[in-house]
Amino acid sequence: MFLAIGNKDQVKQITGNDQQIVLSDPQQLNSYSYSENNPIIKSDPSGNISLVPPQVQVLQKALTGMQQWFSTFSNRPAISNGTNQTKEALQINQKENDQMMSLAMGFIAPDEGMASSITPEAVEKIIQGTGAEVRNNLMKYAQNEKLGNIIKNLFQDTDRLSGGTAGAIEHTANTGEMVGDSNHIIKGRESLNGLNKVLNNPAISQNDYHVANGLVNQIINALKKVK
Amino acid sequence: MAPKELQDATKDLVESFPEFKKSEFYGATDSEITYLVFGDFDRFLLDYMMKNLDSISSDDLIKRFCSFVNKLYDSGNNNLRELVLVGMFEYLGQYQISRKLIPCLSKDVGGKLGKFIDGEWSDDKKD
Repeated sequence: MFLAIGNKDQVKQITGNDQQIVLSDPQQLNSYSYSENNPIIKSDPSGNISLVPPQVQVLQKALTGMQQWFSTFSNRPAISNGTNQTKEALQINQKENDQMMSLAMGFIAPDEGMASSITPEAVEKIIQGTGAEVRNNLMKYAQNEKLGNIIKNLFQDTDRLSGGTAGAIEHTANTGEMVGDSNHIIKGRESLNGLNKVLNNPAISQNDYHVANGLVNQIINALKKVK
Repeated sequence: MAPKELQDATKDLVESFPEFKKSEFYGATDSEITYLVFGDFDRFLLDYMMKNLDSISSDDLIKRFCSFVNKLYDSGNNNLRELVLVGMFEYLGQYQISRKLIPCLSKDVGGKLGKFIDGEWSDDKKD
């Protein structure tokens, strides 16, 4: 109908909607349909526009994620029998699978890539934890390989103090007690140099920026306590 | 070969382990910052050990590693000693496979690595 009219003013006059809206959702032309003729999925409490309930949005997101997961999985090379795979490679595969399953289950929005976004406040909270817990949480967001390796160097499975290398520096500064028979100051300074290089990369992602910046602040604060 | 100063450590590491320089691990984090290069070397070494599980005790690269680390630790330079402990053993200590390195290290150095693997460091007091 509106294509035959061809004039956007006439379209608005007849339908009561802009031509762009009519073109994008022609079902709105039918004043007698309820929820775009899809009352099971959608609701229309106002009578003017149909809505998708949050529960259905989650299912739709999960479905999209599943489609992406199957697509990616079917394009992956076959996994070897494991005899030639290193532990790190296996961990990468595991991480990839976990991310894919999170994507498939709708926990990660597909349009945000493999990692959801993280705030500076969230980074600050995470890095107050201990060892592997901090590393694993930060690695969910770090995309830059160099940043990932610095995180692996800073936070160890065997850490007992919170804060990783920064925590060790702070502990020695506050108590005089060495951690691992060392004061960790040079490691802190060198890690700081590496993090600054990551931050100076003009192509850095927002997540990498927040993670690297949070670690820089943590190490600087620890080094400030060293007399 | 082993360095006398921290700034020489990377150059000597790479010269002592040309296999590392050829690997994808070299420069993965940085090829200029000593602690980051040694962290990358740790990952290279762990990968190497996992691929050569049956021959670790007699492997040439492992023997060179032990000799290199013993010299670093015994150099008399505190920064190099700390590089061994914090820059290498702290990372290696997360993996039980690193226990296989202890027999070829000197008694003192092997004992330090064992402490990292067993997680016995946090209660240490300053000497």
